[in-house]
Amino acid sequence: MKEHNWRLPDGVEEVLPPGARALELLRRRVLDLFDAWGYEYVVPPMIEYLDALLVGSGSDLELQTFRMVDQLSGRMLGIRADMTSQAARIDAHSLRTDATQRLCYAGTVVHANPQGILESRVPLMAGAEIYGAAGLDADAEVIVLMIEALRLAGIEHPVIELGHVGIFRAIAADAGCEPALESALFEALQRKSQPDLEDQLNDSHLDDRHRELFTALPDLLGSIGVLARARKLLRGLSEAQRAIDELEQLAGAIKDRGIDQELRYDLCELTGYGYHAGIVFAAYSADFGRAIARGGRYDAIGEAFGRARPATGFDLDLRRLPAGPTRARHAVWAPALDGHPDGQRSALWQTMTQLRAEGERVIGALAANETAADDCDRELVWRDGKWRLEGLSPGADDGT
Amino acid sequence: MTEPLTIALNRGRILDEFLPLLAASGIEPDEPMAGSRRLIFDSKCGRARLVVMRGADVPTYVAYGAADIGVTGKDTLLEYGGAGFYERMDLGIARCRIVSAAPIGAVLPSGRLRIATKFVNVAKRYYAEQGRQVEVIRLSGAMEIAPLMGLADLIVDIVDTGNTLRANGLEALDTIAHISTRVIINRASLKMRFAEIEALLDNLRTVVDDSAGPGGER
Repeated sequence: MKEHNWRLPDGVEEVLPPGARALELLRRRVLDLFDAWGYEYVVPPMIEYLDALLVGSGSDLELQTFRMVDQLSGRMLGIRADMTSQAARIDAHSLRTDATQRLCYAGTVVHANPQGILESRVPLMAGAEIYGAAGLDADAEVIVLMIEALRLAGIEHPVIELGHVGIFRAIAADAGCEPALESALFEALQRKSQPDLEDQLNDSHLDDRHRELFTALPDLLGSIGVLARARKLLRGLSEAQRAIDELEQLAGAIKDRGIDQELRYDLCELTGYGYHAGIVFAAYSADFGRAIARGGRYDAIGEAFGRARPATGFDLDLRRLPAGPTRARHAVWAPALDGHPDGQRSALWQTMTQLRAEGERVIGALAANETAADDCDRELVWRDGKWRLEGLSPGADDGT
Repeated sequence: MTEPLTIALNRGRILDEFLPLLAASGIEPDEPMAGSRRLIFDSKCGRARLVVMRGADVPTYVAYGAADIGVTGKDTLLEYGGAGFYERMDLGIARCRIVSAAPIGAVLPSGRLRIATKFVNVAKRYYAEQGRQVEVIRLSGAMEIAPLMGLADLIVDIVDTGNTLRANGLEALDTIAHISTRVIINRASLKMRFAEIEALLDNLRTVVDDSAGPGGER
């Protein structure tokens, strides 16, 4: 095995030049965007006590979390698989306020299991969350912010889909589903599998009306017309009607913020929303087999930290996104200090320092016969008693 | 958006029964698939691209998004698990069952059962639900041999007519699942190309309803 000890574990990859720089630039641009919208940057720790990490989250997240024993306390530690719950903890405890709080973050999370085929287990998640604002304006704000962030990655027209976890819950509550049946139906609905749904319902005690509602759910997706269909179908279920009202108002609030593309709706999209309750949303783009960004409301999670606060937000994996437009690299090649007379040496160093301070990328040769690095398009040349910048054609002989 | 929809097809019996349905709903390969060595076919109408592969690979292609649509047996989906795609439709073709089977009259041991199968996940899940401790042995074919050679107490396998079981002195015990052919859709494809995919599914539904008719069993 010795000869393979350079290998990385499955689903774990490193980012190399030039992609690494492009990724970092995207991360900075996204964080600058969040900053411009008033979101405060936080850096949650990579490891935490497991119970704190998993508070209020679903079992999906539990399976995703690497764990180990803390040698100092004997307690279980978890490596974060998600940063949203960390941000919620920070809001509930570290930055206690009754005012609206906007937080953002960007960092690597670690997944014990990849989320899909060829998915990374070490995604670089960036996200923005609003705490303490219960209204739909908060949801609209984070959705528009998500669209702007995707735009930075060169994704101009993502498909934006809205959903509401409350609709399934309303039907299940109204039907009086026992937990086992509810989770079986939930599972079939995640796959939008009408055949499996019918099998489950046929074995159940539910009445015809509720069977009809459940079997109709997988078809409640598409454009705005879906809402009218759902409204008719779910007549009498006040919770579900309220959810549809919210979706309608949210669509309006998004439009008010200059997003005029057609929004999509999927009223039974329940996948990937572990701790969400209420409005959920996701962005899709061609060439990506699953959502590229997602989020929603998770008002309940703060309560698990002892302080219930309305909460909404989104996150996205920066590594999966195209890095967006990157400028061609330019650099200045400086000859080695060694081999030049005293006066020229210090002048050369001063010139290099000054150019770097001006924002130039200056690469210094470490030996007299070294060839210029590939991305150097200019070089420093001693002429008329001064170090001057001169053009360097790529692949040309190194300067004289 | 003008790119054709990619449809991953399970070769063998499912393909043979599905192609007429697909043709009736307006999609035909640009050359007859029978006898051709090609694995990728364009459709005459240009709206679809047909890719022929092993059934067990169909969910993989669809989950990753390499194919927008897949057609494969429920057995494959049960074994693969549901992640990454929607299961939008039951075509009702290539019906069969997943059963457990043992040599006729065999007395099963009361302790840990040894089970030979290629449906490892299905078998584990089923016996866990039954509350039985089992040892699952993965085999890739001709499962009937395993109990006869003393490798396993039981097999879990697909049964259509039951002739292979009988010919080898085995009998079916429990029906674990009823199987038919399903249409699966990549999650992002359904969102991105909703109208095209729904139109295709609607056409297929019409064809399936017509061909199933009153004789269609459930």
